[in-house]
Amino acid sequence: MDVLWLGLLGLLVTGWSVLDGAVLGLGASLRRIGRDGPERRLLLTALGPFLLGGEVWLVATFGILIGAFPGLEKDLLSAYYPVVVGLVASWILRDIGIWFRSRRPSPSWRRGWERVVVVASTTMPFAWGLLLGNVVQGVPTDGRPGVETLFGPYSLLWGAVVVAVFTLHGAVFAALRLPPGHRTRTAVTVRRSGMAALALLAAVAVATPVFGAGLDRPLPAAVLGVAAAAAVLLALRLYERGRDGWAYVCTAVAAAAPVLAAGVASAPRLLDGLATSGTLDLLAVVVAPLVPVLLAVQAWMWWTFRHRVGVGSAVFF
Amino acid sequence: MSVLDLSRLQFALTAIFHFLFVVLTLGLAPIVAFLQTRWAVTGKEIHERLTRFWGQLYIVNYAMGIVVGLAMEFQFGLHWSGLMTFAGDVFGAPLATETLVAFFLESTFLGMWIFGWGRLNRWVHTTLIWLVVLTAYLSAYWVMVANGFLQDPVGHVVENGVARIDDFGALLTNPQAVGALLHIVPVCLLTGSVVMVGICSWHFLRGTPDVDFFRRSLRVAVVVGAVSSVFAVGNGYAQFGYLTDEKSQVFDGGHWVSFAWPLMEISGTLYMMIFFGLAFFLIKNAFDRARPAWLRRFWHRFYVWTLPWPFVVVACGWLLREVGRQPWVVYGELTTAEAVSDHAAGTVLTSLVLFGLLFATLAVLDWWLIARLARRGPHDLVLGSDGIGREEPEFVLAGKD
Ligand code: HDD
Ligand code: HEM
Ligand code: HEM
Repeated sequence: MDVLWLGLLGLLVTGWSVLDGAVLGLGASLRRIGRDGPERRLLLTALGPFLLGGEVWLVATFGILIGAFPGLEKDLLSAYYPVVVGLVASWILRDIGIWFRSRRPSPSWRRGWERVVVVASTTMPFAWGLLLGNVVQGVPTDGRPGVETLFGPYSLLWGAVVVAVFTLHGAVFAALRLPPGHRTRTAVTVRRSGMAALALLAAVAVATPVFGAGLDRPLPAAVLGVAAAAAVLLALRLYERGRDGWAYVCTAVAAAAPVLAAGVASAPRLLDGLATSGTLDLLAVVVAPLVPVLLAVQAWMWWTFRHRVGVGSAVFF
Repeated sequence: MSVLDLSRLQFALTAIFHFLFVVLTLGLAPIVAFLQTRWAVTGKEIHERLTRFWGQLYIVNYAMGIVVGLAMEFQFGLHWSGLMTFAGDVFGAPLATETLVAFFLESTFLGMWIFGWGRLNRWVHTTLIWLVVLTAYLSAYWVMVANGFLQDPVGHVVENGVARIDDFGALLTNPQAVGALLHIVPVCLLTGSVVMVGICSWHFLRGTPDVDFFRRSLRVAVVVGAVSSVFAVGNGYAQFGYLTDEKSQVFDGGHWVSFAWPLMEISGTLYMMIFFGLAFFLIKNAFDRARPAWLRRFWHRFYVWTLPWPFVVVACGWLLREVGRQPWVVYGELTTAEAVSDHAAGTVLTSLVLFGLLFATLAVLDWWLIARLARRGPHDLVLGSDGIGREEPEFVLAGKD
């Protein structure tokens, strides 16, 4: 039963990495893939329908943390206070940047908010990666780890991995959503971020034993790391052949891998923070039956917006 | 300032900012849904414009409601770890339910509503906005269940210093939750209609060419305002039935937030009178014929200038409710001093300044954008546009086949 709650948590946070990871990655390259105002607006139109439905997975993740893992949520947020504050602040700025950018015709207004989107869409995955890198090194039950752990080289490496993987995922997502004529704009970003992701994944593989990060369960985490690297390679090939849909599936695996690896590596510790059985039974009655409904509604959303953007697409952001 | 004061201040700031936007979201959503339903039935262009004009104000307001809500969700874990330890098992359940059952659906539906324009069947599209309304109100309910537990902790037992649920039904029917919600819902609708009346009046003052458009809007707003002000006042007094003793003392005066009570009472009564007065003038557009003209202009100006007032009252009402609970977080069981996390004061001050500046800046910008859209009137609407024929050089998608 307990494992089911961890599974639900995993499902939500993986869903967030895949769906919002693409939006974040695209946001981080907004000014690189989009050369001028209209192209950038095209990109925002491409990501638009997925912004709200994507980020809400992280809202729900923290909701389940509060409800089913109150002990863990308190430990996580107290221990990693500065990182969490950075994560939330950049999240706010990313959202607001996207909402505000096209609200006025002034070019400097638009440039300013585009920069906000780019910086915030890079900072948020970085903060998320830092958080994962720290969780892997063990969540303290009391107080905060020192700066050398919180912002240590190993944690920073995790931050960089997540940024690289999300950027790749976002560029492939852009290729999937843009009108055919604009697709090639993504090629450089895909190639560079793909290479960076491979190098950084290799670096984590080397650094984990070197830094002696005490993983509770290293083997499954290593398998996930290898899977991520393979997925990136495959995605690059598929992208070159113009199979954007399948390339997206591969980068989705890569985007999900870091959080899954951190999760399986520290699962026993995470379960310590579980709520009492009374609360869980209750949540199981109220929430569990709804999970299929939530998934169905999201599937309906993806289905509705499955086409590339084009004439007739609603423009808002 | 101590960590406790700083953490309280940060919570208060976040919560009030959140509610300033939420109150308008909750107020406008049903009105927009109603307008869209009319459009779906009649298919008339005027109804389409009504939906899109008020809808876009609602949506731009929504943005800030969401982002401040995000910050809100992290407050408990960041600053109130004692609360999570003592009562996390109880009040975490409604909050978790809220995020999954309400927000998750609400966000997905809202995204589909904004971007499904012209793509989805009109009835499906209209159903979507009603689903957004439903889930938004559902989220308000669940949040008030959590908040109501803090006001009057029912339905739980304490074992080894930790609270556990033993009667979920009592938690869900807590008068502190249901009663407050019954007051909040009409307050939100009242706020929405005050904003609409203010915007319509601004256009009447300016001699807008869209008289018919704003007259129709005014009619809807006045009816909603008249009905909701009655319920806001009635359900407000009804709350005296279950105020805790300490809270009653705050209402009796002598506490620094006691001022909030007469403020609500007077404002509620005045709004009720104003809206009923306005309702008379709607008959056969009597307002246009009211003489002398300066008196008419005076009233228009009055509605424009008092547009922000309900937001002030709402903030004061919350201060009364939450500060009046002091020194308890969970009334009678856990004090704020016991609940607060043991961070260094500097840490909490840093995040307070960061979030404070961020929210203040973004809120002002958001209201300014809303005001710009409101002033532009029902022309060149953003919501539901496919980018064709926009005045700006940035074409977007037209002719890109
Ligand atoms: C435009 C806003 C507005 C207006 C006109 C009123 N209220 Fe109110 N009131 C609120 C906005 C509000 C609020 C901000 O929404 C509160 C704060 C918490 C809550 O549940 O609603 C609130 C709370 C609140 C409480 C509960 C406080 C607590 O639980 O500690 C009472 C007893 C009243 N109100 C009573 C009234 C009465 C009798 C009114 C009219 C005669 C009135 N309010 C008008
Ligand atoms: C501690 C309390 C609260 C927390 C943690 C909280 C959290 C949140 C979060 C995370 C969001 C964004 C959800 C999304 O992504 O769509 C949100 C939005 C919302 N909240 Fe709150 N909230 C709180 C208090 C309240 C209260 C008291 C109400 C109403 C009575 C309310 C009503 C809403 C509504 C209607 C929305 C969606 C509309 C909007 O964003 O304007 N919330 N809240
Ligand atoms: C689920 C809903 C809510 C919960 C669980 C909640 C809980 C809390 C907690 C834990 C604190 C800090 C401790 C304290 O000062 O008592 C607090 C303070 C406060 N909250 Fe709420 N709150 C909720 C909704 C709101 C909303 C929507 C508002 C305002 C619009 C609000 C206004 C305040 C204020 C002004 C304070 C500061 C009071 C003080 O420190 O003296 N609360 N609340």
